[in-house]
Order: sequence, then structure tokens, then C-alpha cells
Amino acid sequence: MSNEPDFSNVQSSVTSTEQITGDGGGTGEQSYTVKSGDTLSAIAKQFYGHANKYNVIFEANRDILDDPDKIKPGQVLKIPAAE
Amino acid sequence: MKQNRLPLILTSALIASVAIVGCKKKEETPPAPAATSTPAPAPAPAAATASVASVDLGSAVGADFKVSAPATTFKPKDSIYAAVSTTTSDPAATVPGKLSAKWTYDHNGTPMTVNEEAKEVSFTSTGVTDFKISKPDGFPTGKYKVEVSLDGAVVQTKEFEVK
Repeated sequence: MSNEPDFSNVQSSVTSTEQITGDGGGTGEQSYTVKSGDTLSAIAKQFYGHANKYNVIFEANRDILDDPDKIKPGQVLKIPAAE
Repeated sequence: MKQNRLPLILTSALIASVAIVGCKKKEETPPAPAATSTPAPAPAPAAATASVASVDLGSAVGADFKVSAPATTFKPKDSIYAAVSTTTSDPAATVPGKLSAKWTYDHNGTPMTVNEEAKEVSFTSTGVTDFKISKPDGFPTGKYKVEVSLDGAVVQTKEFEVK
């Protein structure tokens, strides 16, 4: 069992006195289009090398995902940068 | 016959004088002014630039977006703010730029990404942009670092600790 700290539930926000004109898209963030037969675990293994990091992807896509076991082909997922 | 030649002579003289006058006139035509000198283009003003003046860490910010009390040590359940003060070289200019913050945790000497956030910002004169992170179940204790980048280049780095 890894002793690695889990930062998947870190919440962040940005506010400014300046005008924020767009989302810079977190450095290193990637996107992935779900294919038939994909699972979040498989995608996590592909991007992070560990299937158990599926929650990182799930949390980053809560706006389009309600259940980590239910992803649909064609959905475009945000893949946060790996550490 | 001799009388008939007079008008011819007069006509010739008239044509000659007209020709002379015509030529003279041409000579008097003032020289065409030198091609209108196109006004020298005003030197292009140096493009205004934005820069990061300072980065302060704290657990709360005020109405002015600046941290209430700068700190480098936090409790696990604190919200952590990085207040990035920016300025533009021309106070009247609006300078677009990408401001980002990358938070990392020192995991046995290996940096682990805690969070990365980037925003496109229109910088005008002076301003403050706050990057905030929090973790409902608390940050692991240890050493952390936040790198603030402007347009992809790291411009400030701050280290802090969670105890």
C-alpha cells in the first residue's frame, strides 16, 4: 500500500482585482475522448501509471460525471497533470 | 505678291514668339516639390509589459485581495492563498497575459503536484490576483512550494510549511 499523499480532493479558486478573460487551463492539463470499452481506471493507468488514480480524473470532471463507473464514448475528459 | 508675304512673316513671328514664351514658361515652372516627405513614422511606443511585483502567502485575504497576515507556516485545514501583485509598465495600458500557480509538496525529496491553476488576465496598472487552495481533510504536514509563472516563465517561488 503506497504511503503517497493524496491531493485529489484539493480545491482551488482564483480571484483577481484584474479582469480574468479566460481559463488558462492548468499547465499540463490534457484532454481525453472516451472510447467504447474505456473505464476511468484504465484511463488513469494510461496517463498516471496507476489505475487507482481514477479518482483524480473523476474529481476533475465532476461537472460532466456523476458516477465514476459511468462514462460514455465521446465524452471529453480533463486529465490533470501528473505529478 | 510682296504684299502677300507680310501676313506670312507676321504669322511666323507670332508662332515663334509663342513658342519662345511657351518654352520660357516651361522653364519658369517651379520645380516640383520634393516628393511629399512622408512623415517619419513616430517611433513605435515600447509595448507595455506586465510583471509580478510580489507574491505573499497567507490564510486569509482582505477586501483589497491582499493577504491579511503574510505567513509561511499553516495548519493542515487552513486555506492557503498566494496573493500575486502585478503591475504594468504603462499604467494606462491593458496587457493580456497568462498567470499561473503551481503548488507542489516535497514528498521525501520528490516534488508532488498539489494543484495547478492558470488564468488569462488583462493586467491594468496595478492589481492583485489570488490563488487559493484548500483540502477538506487537511493538507499533509510537510514542506510545500508555490511557483508563480507569467506567460509560462516562473517569476516567483515561495516555500511554506504545513505543521
